[in-house]
Formats: sequence, C-alpha cells, structure tokens
Amino acid sequence: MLTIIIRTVMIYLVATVAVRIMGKRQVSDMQTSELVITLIISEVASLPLENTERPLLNSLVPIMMIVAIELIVSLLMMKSRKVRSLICGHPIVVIRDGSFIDSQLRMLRISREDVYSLLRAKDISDESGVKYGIIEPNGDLSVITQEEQGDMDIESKDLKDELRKLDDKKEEP
Amino acid sequence: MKRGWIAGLLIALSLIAGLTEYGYVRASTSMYLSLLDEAQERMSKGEVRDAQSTAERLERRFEGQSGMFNIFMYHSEVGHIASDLSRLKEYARTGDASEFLATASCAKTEIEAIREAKSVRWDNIF
Repeated sequence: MLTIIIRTVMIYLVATVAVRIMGKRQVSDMQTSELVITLIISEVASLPLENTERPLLNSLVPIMMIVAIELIVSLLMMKSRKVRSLICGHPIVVIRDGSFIDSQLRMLRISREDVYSLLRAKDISDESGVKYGIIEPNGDLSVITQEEQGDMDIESKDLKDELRKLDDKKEEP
Repeated sequence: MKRGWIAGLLIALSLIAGLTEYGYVRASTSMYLSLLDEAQERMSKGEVRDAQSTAERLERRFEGQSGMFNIFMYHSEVGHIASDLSRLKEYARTGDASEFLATASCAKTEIEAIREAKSVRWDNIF
C-alpha cells in the first residue's frame, strides 16, 4: 500500500507536468488528437497504480514519448497548414449568404436541426441573417452575420480556401 | 522553439531509459545463461561441489542485481527466477542431479523469455 501511495504521488506529478507542458484546454475545446492523447495518458498513467508489479518506467516512458510527439506535431501544425489540416481537419462552411449548404451537412453527417440548435445557443433564430456559418475542427459552430461582415473581405486563409472550394464545386457540371 | 527543445529532451530521456534497459538486460541475461550452462555442465559431469559453488554464485549475483531488474521487469518474473536459483543451490547441496538440471533448464527458459521479450523485434512490437 505504501508503494501505491508513493507511486500515486509520482504519477500525479508526472501527469500534471505532462498536461502542463502540452498546454491543455478544456475538454470541449480540444482537438480530436488532443482528446485522444489525454485519454491515452490517463490510461497509461493508471497502469502502475492498478498493478504494483508493473515497473513505473513502463508508464513514465510512454507518457514522455506521447508528450514529445504531441509537442513536435503541434510545432509542425504551427508551421504547416497542410499538417494542421491533416491532423485537425479544417473549418467547413455549412451556411452561406443565409442558406444551408446541404452537401456540406451531409459530409459532416449532421442535420439542419443540429445546426439550428447550435444557432439558438448563439441567440440566432435561423440561418437567414447568417453570412457564414462554419463548423470548426473542434465541432463548434462559428457564425458571421451579414451585419458583422458587411462588404469586408474574408481575411482568414482557412475560410478563403474553403469558400474557393465551394465555388469550384458549384462551377463543376 | 522551446517546445522543440522540451520534445527533444523527453525523447532523449526515453531513449536513454530504453537503451539502458536493453543493454542491461541483454548483458545480464547473457551472463546468467552462461553461468547456468556452466552449472549444468558441471552437474552432468558429476562435479557436484563445483556445480554448487556456481549455483551459489548465481544466487548471490542475482540477489545483488534484483533491485535493478525490478526497475525494468515485472516483479513476478524476477521472483520466479530468484526462486529457481534458490532451489538450484539446494539441489546442488543435496546432490539431486536430475532436479538440479531440470530447475536450471526452467531458469534458463525464463531468462531467455525475458531476453526475447526485451528485444527490438517485429513480433514484440506487434
């Protein structure tokens, strides 16, 4: 039992440092890969607590490697949009100029009712006043209204690329 | 770039731990396997006293290294080997050659299994 107490303290410290190094956000704000990594770390960290026969290094080394890989991947994502898109996905425009884009909804496997629910959470009753409704990589719905956007150009590269893809799709016979 | 340095440090620490385990287990298991071979050979030739002193040497060394082994291996694995080596010494003392040889074979099998399990091979990875 004393061994478990000491191991628990050590694992707690290591897991806290690991999460601190990775700069975790709340679960609802995490990207998919971040959520998976957090779950893996918690699972691996608990193994030496369940079984005192298991060497502590069998958990510490995987945790260190996972944190290292996550840091390298996050660095690559900062430097390369392609890598970021590959790992996190990219924003998907589901509402444009007050209308739903059903092909995009089908791609995301969500319904209009799901989007209405997200709109209502932002005190927006329907899609008519929405210039752009964007499902972000973490699943949130971002809304840019007609009033906010006005005649201004889109600055965000992600969104520009996404809108260009939609325009290309429309032009295809 | 700070993240890069931290990642590099963590990878270096992991590699140090991994290579240390690999090197230590490989070297130690080789030594124990050759000592067990020596003990078996001596007992097969009827050199009971020599076999006994080899068995005692094995047990003493293993006791001294068991702390390090517990860092790298499951404690039950270490315990099984310690138990076999202890019995080996007793069988040599009582001159029970067949039990001695059988126990030495068991100990060798366990040590070889640990050595294989710590090797970097595709079947271990998968």
